[in-house]
Amino acid sequence: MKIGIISFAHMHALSYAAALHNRTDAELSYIWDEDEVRGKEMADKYNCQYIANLDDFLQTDIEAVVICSENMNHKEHVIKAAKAEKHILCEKPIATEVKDAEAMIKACEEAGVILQIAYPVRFAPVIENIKAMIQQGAIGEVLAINATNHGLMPGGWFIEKELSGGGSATDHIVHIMDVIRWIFEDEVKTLASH
Amino acid sequence: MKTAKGTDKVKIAVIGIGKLGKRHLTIWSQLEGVEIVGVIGRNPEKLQVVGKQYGVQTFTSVEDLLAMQEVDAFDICAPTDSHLMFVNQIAEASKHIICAKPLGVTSAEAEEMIAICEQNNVQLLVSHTLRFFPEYANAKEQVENGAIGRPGVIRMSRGVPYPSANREWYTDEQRSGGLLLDLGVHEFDWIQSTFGEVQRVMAKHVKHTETSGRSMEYGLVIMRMVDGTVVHVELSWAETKFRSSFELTGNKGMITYNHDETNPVILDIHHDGPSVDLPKSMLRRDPFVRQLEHFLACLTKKAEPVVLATDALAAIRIAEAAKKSAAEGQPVVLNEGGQRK
Repeated sequence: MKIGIISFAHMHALSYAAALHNRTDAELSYIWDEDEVRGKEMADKYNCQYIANLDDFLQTDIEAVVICSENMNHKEHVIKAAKAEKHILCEKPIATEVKDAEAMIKACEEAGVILQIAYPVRFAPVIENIKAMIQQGAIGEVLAINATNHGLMPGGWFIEKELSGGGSATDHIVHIMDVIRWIFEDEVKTLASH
Repeated sequence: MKTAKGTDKVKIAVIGIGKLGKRHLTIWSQLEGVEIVGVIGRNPEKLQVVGKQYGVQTFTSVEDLLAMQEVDAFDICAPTDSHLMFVNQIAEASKHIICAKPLGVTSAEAEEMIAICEQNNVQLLVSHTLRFFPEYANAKEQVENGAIGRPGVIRMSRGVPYPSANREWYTDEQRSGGLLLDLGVHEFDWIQSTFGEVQRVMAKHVKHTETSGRSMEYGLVIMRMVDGTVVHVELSWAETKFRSSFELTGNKGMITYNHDETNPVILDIHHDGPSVDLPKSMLRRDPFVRQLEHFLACLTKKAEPVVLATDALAAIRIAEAAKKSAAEGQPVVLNEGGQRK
């Protein structure tokens, strides 16, 4: 299966590229990046082709794309890829506004393509085990959860609100809330924030 | 100070013969310059045992003790809902007071105690022992010296098992103030002394009883300080053993502490029989000793109190705001400010 990567703005693109590079059942065929220098450098590194024009990139025979652009650009890239009938793995958060996310989901449904958002925490053995333990009732009824997420300061566009949609709260809360919703199969009722 | 009659020893009377009272009796009996002139308890049989154990005269009321003994200061180690009555009696007799935390069940009680002690010109020293834990004292100093830069997000946690059957007054909110007051004031006092005043408080409080009868409580208090620092405090009566930790983050770095990592000696044994109790602290002078030494220095005018009675009052006000917020599901504003940093 041929796969393309849209943008290396998010550092996780390197992990996806490396993972694809090591597979025999899939290959990283094309890279598009707004930053031509970065795009060409990555194409050289992973032995694939850089395409400077996004429409041309989406006209290739790739079946799926991995989108690692800045959060603010997810909407445009997902909708374009959906219209070109490519399946999509998009970096989290899906978008910076709920209405954008809804439009993206709708576009993918209409195009009949798979839209997945990267929540790797769900695939961490620790979290898989915790989910199983909680669901087996290991600690009984859960009364309270106190969660946090620590990370290194990524800098760059992550701290430019017009590109990321927010700072560490935007970047981290989605991970924690996704895991909590996934483990407990429950939704948030009320919210307070400082 | 001019100590009572003749000797230069400070004459202390201890009120309360529970865990805290006995702990204080042990320390007072080891400190130089102290004479324990009596212990006051309600349960006559238990009182006789404690009196014998420490070689101290026993009394069943403050009046009886005052009628028989010269005394400089009373050390109140009795349930929180008895503090006001004792403080009134003792202050009116013009004796100094050491009082367990929290100072009162409500801020109104604490205000009354502070006023009567001021009127009678006696010291009111409140046992916020956390300030005498070297880890907490040092972290406060580090923060004040700028080690973490501008404080940003502070996370503190304190958990203990649910109060056992023989200490069940703790679970009666009317008597102890409940989880958010009784456990929370440790952190609230330290937080306010380190980061300044609280702007607003948001809290959740869960109480749960299993069908087996086992109960537990859990609280989460989130506050924004007037200077913009955000503080999370986790409080739990749902643990299997004592637990405390903190994580103090600023723009320059982070200070962390976890009680579990501080004890260099761990005893783990297989059999179920009686075992050796390891001391809770490996310090030569544990925090309780440090605190009573400090109180002794305050009573003899060699030191100024580290914790003012007004600090103890402020901690109760934060706990009250947390209780109100938990009950109403809304943030409670204590002070203006709380600008984003």
